[in-house]
Amino acid sequence: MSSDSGHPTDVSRQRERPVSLFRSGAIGMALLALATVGLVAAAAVIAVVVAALG
Amino acid sequence: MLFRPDADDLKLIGLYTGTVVYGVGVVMLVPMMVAVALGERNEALAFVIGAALAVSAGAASRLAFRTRSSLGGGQGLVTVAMIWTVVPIFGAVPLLLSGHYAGYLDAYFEATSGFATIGLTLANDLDHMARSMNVWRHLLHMLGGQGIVVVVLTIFASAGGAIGSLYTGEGEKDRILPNVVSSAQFILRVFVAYAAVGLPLLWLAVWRAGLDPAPAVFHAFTLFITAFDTAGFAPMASSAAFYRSQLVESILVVVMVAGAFSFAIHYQLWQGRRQELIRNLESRTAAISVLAVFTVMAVGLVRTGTFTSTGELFRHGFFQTLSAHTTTGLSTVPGALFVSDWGALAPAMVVIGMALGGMAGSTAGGIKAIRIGLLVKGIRRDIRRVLLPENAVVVETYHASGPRILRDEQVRGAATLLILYLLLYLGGGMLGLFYGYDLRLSLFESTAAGATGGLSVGLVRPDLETPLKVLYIVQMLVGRLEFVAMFALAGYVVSVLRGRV
Repeated sequence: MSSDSGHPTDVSRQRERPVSLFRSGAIGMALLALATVGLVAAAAVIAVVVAALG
Repeated sequence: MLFRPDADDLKLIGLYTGTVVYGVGVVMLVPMMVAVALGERNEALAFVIGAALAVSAGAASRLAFRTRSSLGGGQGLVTVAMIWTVVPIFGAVPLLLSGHYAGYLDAYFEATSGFATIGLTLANDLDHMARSMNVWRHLLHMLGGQGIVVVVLTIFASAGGAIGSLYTGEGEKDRILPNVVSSAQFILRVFVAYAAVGLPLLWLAVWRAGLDPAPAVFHAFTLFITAFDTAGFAPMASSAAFYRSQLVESILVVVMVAGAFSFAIHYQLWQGRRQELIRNLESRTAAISVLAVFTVMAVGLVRTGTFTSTGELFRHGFFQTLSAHTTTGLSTVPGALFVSDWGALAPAMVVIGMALGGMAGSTAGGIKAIRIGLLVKGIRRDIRRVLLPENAVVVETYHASGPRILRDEQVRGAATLLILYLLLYLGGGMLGLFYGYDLRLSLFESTAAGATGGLSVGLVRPDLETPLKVLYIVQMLVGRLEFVAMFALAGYVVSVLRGRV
């Protein structure tokens, strides 16, 4: 589906799903926490490598 | 409208600003009740005076500027700038009466720093400030933090194609929800959900760190607000270092990241569109940027020999990287150490982290990851245009709530904001140099103010020169509102002075 702005898809045109505090919210928060843990793990690896090389 | 406002514009701006001031006066009753409950009588009186002034001024403004017109895009921009300028005038009253500030300018500085989610402080003897007054400082963070997200995702985004693009990197069609009320409701839901998990965890962690359970509630509340609103005030002068707890710092890291995340992406995640986290241009750019800044910082710290163990380097280096990059401003090391013990490269990365900032549509400030991502995409497209045959059609795409085609307008908007932010940071640094401060100190504090970063190397203190205090206030407001709203307000004031209203 195209839109006025030329985008193939558009957020405002997408079908909205119900936003549930306890279900969708919990999944969304868990995913973000997981992503943060991934970021921290990547940073830890960088710290070890930099310290080893330095 | 912006440069030729009429009397009806004045009424609208006065009406909405008055309404918000009225609301801030009502919210002031919360710390007043805390003061009463804790037996802090002087503070309770300070909040009564502050609330009375705000409610009276707000109500008078609402009566004086009654109108049936509705707020348009340009008026919205001026109104937002007015709100962020006027609310601290009233928010500063209880702070001034607390006795922790040298004068009204310092209290206004503090209230602006709170409402704009900066985190720079001019408080004297913060460690002995009454709890209710600290609650007020953090409520200012919350009001301004959640408020700016609502404003960016609704009023700014709908202010017109070009201006909308400047603010969100996307534009009018990309508002996450159709109006102010539904956007505010979603933002509040996200806040409540994170608070429901984050507050108890922080309370347990602070308790485990050695505080009694009752004071731990107060510390958990203030820490959660300051981290989720990427703000920077802390209840203790030593900031996050006060707790000496890796557990507290770990929870703060997650909360800071959540706070710096675009609410548009929060919305996508809450809608079950999990791939958005990995595919979105802004989240990708932010992750790469954080890791790049930390890598260079780690090289600097290793070269300087600041930390004796890799664990300590990672603990403090990464916390400071995230605190700077999310423009939160919490610190696990005294600010003065950035200059004395961290060498030259690592503090420079703290400055760069603050300058780059978090994501658009979040409480974070700075240039924003979406603009960096769009600029990189724009550069890539231009290089491809040079390398490919002249008649080749070069289309650059990116992912933001769906696949999108990069438009010239977006790259131009991102480049404009990048230049304006750099000028803001450097301009503030120049005045610091004028007063004889070292380039590193001047640029650090100037960036902390302009990017809403809030980390400090100690230059911001009560005996700071008055012109610098005023400049940092202006930088805080301009950086928080990302220029256009303040330009609109300035244009409006010029029009009023020229008698065009």
